[in-house]
Amino acid sequence: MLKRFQKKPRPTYRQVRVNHGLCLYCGVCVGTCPANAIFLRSTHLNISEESCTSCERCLLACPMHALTIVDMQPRVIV
Amino acid sequence: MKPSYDVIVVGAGPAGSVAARKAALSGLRVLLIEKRQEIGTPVRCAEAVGREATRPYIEPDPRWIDATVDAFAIYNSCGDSVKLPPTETTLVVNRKVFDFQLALLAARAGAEVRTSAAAGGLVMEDEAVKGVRVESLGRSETIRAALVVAADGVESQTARWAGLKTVPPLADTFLGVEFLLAGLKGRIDPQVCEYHLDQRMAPGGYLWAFPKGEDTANVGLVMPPEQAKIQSPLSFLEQFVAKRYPESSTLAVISGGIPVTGAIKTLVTNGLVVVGDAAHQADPLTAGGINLGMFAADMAMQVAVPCVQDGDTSASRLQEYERLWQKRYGKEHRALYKIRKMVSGMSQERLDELVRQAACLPLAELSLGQVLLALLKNDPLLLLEAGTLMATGLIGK
Repeated sequence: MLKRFQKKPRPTYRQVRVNHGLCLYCGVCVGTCPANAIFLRSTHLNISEESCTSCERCLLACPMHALTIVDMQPRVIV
Repeated sequence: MKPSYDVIVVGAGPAGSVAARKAALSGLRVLLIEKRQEIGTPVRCAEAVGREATRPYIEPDPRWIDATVDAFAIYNSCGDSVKLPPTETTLVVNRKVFDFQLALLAARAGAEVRTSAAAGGLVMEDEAVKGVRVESLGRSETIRAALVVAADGVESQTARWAGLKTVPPLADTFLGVEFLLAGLKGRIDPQVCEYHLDQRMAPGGYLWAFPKGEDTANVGLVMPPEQAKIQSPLSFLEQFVAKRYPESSTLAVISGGIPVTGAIKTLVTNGLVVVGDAAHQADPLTAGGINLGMFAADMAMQVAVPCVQDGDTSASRLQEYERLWQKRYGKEHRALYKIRKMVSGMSQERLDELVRQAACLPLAELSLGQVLLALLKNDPLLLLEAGTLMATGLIGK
């Protein structure tokens, strides 16, 4: 019983990451995000994990291909 | 800072500054907020405006005019080109100075301008917008106003917070990348704006080279996301520049996007109007939006100022702006939208052929309508699409 529980893969979630080396802070992603999850302040782009639905529209809308989506595993705090 | 305002304008681009100035000149208390630390930056634009269409809002000034253009040259992939006179004298401007001067005019008219001041949310009461939560230099405060003007451009969130549908369909968003190139002496004509229709270099979109002096130019491209999925617009542009302008210097890298859908249906809600790129008011064919944004801002304030003065900024009163916009641009933009779809769907062979045929016509003596008509005679296939062209009024029936 305990063994089976341990084998179960941890639930993953997807998170949008910004490549700050490519991002020019033009804001196209902000306008195309249907969840209002992206915030831009001068040269700071912030994606709200709570609001993001991982729809990937922003990835397609970025002229610089500066956004990527990564599979994340929740950290287990013991 | 005043205790409250009649109008808060979000975004100090051309549309926002024109709206703020107009409202301030009418005696209203106006706050114009800009989230960037410096007005006019970062530039996200090819920087072309019509001289006469700009004049009502700002007197042409050499401080922001980089080039005066008297012809547009359209190139095909074989290097053939058609030179067309523009419908009006076109200026290639320095947006940093241009936007700054427009904001300065708003400030001089009495509007209070604040930079590094972002809208963080709206004050909503009884389904009406009553103000803005302004985040500025580490402070967050709620500022009330009778009217909020959403002029926050392509990254608009303000109108969406109020419930308007401003998320553009992905297929109708042009993605753009541009370099400001130097070292082009002899390789550009400082009086000619170039367009390049090349499906291999910019699939589904087009490239441009707009002169900014004898040896500098904005060289860029736009393309739809579908085509940009596999290869980034940046790498397409790098290929084009390497081929056409080798050994040039890149003085600026610019990226941006333009919703090319034609204006959104609902431009107003209780206590709020949307103007400019935030309302998708850019030209659905060329994606040019500066003049249209300023025009829309002026039109919106023409309607909204009396509403604020009467103390009634309900959607039903503000809707007059929506009606006026539809009357002026609704039909035209729907037709331009169709033309863009038609052109972007053409094969490279047909585009090449069209430009080659047009190049043989005595263009200086013909109107644009006559040119299109002559092309139709040569290309029966185009006749099938003539309905679209007729709808624009470019050719007669």
